[in-house]
Amino acid sequence: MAATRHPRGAVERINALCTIGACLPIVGAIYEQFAGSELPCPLCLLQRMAFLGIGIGCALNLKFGVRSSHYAIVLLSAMFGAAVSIRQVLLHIEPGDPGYGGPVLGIHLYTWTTVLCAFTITGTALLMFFDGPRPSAPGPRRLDGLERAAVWLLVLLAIANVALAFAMCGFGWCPDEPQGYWLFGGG
Amino acid sequence: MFAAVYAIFLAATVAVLRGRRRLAMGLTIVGLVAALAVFRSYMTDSLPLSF
Repeated sequence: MAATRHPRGAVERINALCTIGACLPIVGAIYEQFAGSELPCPLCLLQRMAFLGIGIGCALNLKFGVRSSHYAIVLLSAMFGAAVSIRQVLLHIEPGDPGYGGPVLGIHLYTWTTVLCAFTITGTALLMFFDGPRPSAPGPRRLDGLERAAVWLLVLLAIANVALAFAMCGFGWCPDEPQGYWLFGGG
Repeated sequence: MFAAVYAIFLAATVAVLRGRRRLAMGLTIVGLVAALAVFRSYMTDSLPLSF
């Protein structure tokens, strides 16, 4: 079906920013992986997947119009991310435990994930108040500059994560505390 | 294993770009279920949990 133009509202703009916002933790985690030489643990990799899911939900709103089923994708992804990150927080909750990896702005990345997923769930619930009757969109929309950039950033990050996960773990399971890249003889 | 689950999410993002809504939503849900299965496998008592 050919892409068509539709008027944009504030909710669409917010969804474009949310798509970029979902990409930022993944960008930060990849930056830490290389700049901080911190290889991600399996739970860290699962948290990146949750952010990809959140980004896809927002991108669906951009491309096909705002629908509650798209918000459901965002909510399910955020709940999954919260479950994984809370699990990791609990693993390191004992006093004296240094945690996994270095802190960023005072707290660890998995604790950031818990905070961001809580914000995502709350923000999505608030956005759903504005999911009233809209002009029906018969097909996919033509994305404008910011929206196209947001969706392409999501695609590029998904490609980067496929490559990085394969380089780290190959076809098998990732070790609990990875020591190197499987592809280059480490791991 | 992780790369395969990421590949599902990658396929979902490409489906969004290509305007395939149902495919994108289906792939994302399959990806989340697969990620949940991976998460579950790391929750068993038989594996050391020292992340």
